[in-house]
Amino acid sequence: MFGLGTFEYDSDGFRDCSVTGLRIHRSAEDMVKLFGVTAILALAVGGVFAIFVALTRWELVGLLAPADFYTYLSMHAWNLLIFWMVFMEIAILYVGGPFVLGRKLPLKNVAKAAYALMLGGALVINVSIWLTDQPDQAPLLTSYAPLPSSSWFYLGVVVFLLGALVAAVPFLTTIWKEKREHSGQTLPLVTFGAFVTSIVAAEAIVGGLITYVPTYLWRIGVLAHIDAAWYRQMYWIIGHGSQQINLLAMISIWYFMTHVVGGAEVASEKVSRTAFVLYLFFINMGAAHHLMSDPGVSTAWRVWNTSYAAYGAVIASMIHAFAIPAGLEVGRRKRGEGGGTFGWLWSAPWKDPGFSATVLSIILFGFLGGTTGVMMGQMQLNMTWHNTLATVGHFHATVALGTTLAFMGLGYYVLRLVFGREWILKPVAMVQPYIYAGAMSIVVLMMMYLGILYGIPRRHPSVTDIPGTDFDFAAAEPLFIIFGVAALLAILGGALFVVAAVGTLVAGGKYDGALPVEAPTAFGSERPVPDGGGANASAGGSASGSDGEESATATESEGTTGTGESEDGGSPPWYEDAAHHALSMRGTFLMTLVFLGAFVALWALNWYLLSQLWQVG
Amino acid sequence: MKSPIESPEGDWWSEEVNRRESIWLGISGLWAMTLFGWMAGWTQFGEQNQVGETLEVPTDRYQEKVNAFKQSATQADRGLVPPDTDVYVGAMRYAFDGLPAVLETGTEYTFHLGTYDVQHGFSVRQEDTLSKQLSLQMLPGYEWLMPMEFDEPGTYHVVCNEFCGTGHRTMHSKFEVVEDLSAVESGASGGESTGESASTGGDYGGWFTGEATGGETSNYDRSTTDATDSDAVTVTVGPDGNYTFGPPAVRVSSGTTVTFEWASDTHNVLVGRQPDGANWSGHEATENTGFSFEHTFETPGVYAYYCNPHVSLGMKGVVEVV
Amino acid sequence: MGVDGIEPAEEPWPQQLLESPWLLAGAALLFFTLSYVVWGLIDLLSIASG
Repeated sequence: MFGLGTFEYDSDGFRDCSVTGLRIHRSAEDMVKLFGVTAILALAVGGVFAIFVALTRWELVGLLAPADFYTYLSMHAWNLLIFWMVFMEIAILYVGGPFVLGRKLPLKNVAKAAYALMLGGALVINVSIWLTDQPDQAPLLTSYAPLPSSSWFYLGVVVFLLGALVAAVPFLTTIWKEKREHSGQTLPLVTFGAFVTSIVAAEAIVGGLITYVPTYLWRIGVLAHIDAAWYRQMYWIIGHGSQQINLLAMISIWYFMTHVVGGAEVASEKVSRTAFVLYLFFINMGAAHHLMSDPGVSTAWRVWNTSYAAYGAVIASMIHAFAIPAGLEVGRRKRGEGGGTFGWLWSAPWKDPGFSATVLSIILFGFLGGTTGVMMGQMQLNMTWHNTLATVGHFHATVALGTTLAFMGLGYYVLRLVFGREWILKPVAMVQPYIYAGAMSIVVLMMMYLGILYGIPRRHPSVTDIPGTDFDFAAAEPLFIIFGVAALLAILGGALFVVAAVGTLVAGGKYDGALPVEAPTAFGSERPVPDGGGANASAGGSASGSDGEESATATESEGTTGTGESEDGGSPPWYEDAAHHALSMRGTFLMTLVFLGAFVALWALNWYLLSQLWQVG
Repeated sequence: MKSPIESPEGDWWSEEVNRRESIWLGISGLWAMTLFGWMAGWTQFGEQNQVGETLEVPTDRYQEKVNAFKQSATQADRGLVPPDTDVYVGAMRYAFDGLPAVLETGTEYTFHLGTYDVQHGFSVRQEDTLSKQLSLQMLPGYEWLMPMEFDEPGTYHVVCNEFCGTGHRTMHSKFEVVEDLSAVESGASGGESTGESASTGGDYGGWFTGEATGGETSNYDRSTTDATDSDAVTVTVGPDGNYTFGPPAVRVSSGTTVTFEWASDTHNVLVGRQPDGANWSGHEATENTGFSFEHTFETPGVYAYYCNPHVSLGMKGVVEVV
Repeated sequence: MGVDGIEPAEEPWPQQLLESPWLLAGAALLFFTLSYVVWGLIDLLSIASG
């Protein structure tokens, strides 16, 4: 499609990817390209508006007048939080489904119709926001009723959401057909993750339609009244749910990319899949986070829903936080890339932007994004976070760092593996994730600091000079300077990605598909010391599983041959079936303990701050 | 091979889990229980819980409640002193009705939070320690009763942190917490005077500019409507929903009755300055479309008035009596 | 028919459950509807007039 890809397809429309081993059909690949490129265009548009927003909140520059600020902020929000995310997520569904399963994309025309609806909706939303005029107000992201926005805006949202729902249908049909044809088989983990993503997305989108259809009817006068409390409860199903789609898509990408680029394997199917199921059930309850400081809903409802059912979904996150690095550690140890506790990590391909973006995404989402989400979601802590700039810091950590970096990493590999093009400006591509991640991290930290410790409100174009009073937040100016400079650097980092991506699309040479992860090294190389005393390995074998207690003894390879999977036809290498539980995960364990330490410390600090507040309730 | 892009075979459920991973699972479970238990427990043993009764109250009814509160409160120099322990706050575009207020330490007050129009934020912080801050949501159609008790005296500033329109950033008020209420001066001051008196010279001392009280008046074109021949004059409050008085400046003869007619919602008429000996008190309560009141202006001179919620946006007027 | 060498019925029941995506999806949607939507609406509808 577009003549931008370099691959040839056979007469059935399939091609084999020499890197991933996947069998890919043209019907799916065309759609992945279409949705993926659209996503990157939305990223570019939203990024341009980021410049204006950042340079206004950095009041030394104070670029925009207040009325304009809200319009530009809305453009920034919708293009990045919604269009950059959702277009990419549809592409990810088509990768996780048809690509991974080696199937055609069913209902091709439905996919095209869905794209048209989504694109049409996105354009209507963009134009209607841009042309906002009295008595309408800019919707920002949340379009809180009864503050009115353009009626076209609400209509555009309805159309976009319908389109996204329709776009999921070919994916779900793929899953249905696969299960019907191979009923005894388990879906691959990435596909299972994509499936959970699609259900969470459908849930969110239906919530959005329940919100926006009546709101549209109210705006055009068909419905007389719209209840603000009901609106908020329903809106946040799509408001937060759309971001939970990001979370799930991102995690699926983490598994995918650490495998393709880093050589990761699945540490435990059982544990990872259970974690996805916990998400499936509980993650959208997080919509309640936005209602913690609201009247109306009961305390019990708030406590139960904000906790994702007693933190069931947080357990899921912590599972993935362990499982993904563990998969990398185990996979690399098996390949002889690990030495010592962290050798597997230092030897990883840090110069590969697909890898570095993915790993930076994992670390920064974890430490900055996920933890602060839990903080804000604790009902009482929410009072100190609600509608401050710290909230903005949280979702820049999760979306602008976590998901965006993951999508960038995937994007680099979509260029290579889907478009078959090698990156231009390789030195730029190599450093781009680091520049972006570093600068955006500083932005995030500043926002959180300003919000929590200065109480700076969000959605304000100017807080250092409030008309009609001597009171202001001018004390925060030094931090705003750091924020402003870092924001510009971060935007530059994002722009570099867009330049590299688009440049590669139009001018990149053919990518020859060299496997980024070297094939497992020869048997003669040093065999890593497994944690269990003997690496008895067979599926269902009775290896002791005790970790790190005994010194290694050189045992003979006892791997059973997987049914006919030996690569060279001779006896398989010792690692072929080495049970994962027997390979060390001590590096991962240490890292997750550090993460837990940071989590607990942040939590304790927040509760301490709250305890210093006056009595409420 | 245990690849995330291949189907795992056989019974993968029974595969052993790495011991460290199992430990981590246990830690995660414990952490989840801690998070949940602490949050639930704090509702019992903690002092900061945004838990309070909600009532369903239409916006105009809530406006009446706030006005009733303002009537029954004592007007002190620094704000309203509540008659009992109820403090009413009515948020509107763009002011906090009911504030400023003066409260005392060690008393548990019940804050009543609601709005007259759209969603607003009740974001409070201590002047001296900005990190002591909280934010609560205010919704039209609802009244939220939130107990609060302050141990530290000082000034507490309130801003709106829920986007409510063009004037959102101008919304500010405060309340002071003092240790001894009886020491607070009382005495009616007929509405808060928000600005320094304008100097003489220029059009009405520059009342309509951004240099005086509030922002620049958009519909003032430096001309004064001459109604000196009329017996009865009407000034429209908020015509077409604009934040203006129509006409902004009118000249009348002494003894003329001026009727102020509301054409949009949540406006009031406060007197900025008036000639010595004049006794016009404006109309302090915020009113909505259809309301009107009148005053017969006797004393010659310049009566400069404004709408409090929208003064930052320039909603000001003048009645010049000759 | 299982293609992976064992009959589906031989798999432990948790694995069978994890291999039933539509059942899981339906249960999850139902749970969310009750826990978040319906309970919340009940809360809002039982607010007293003031």
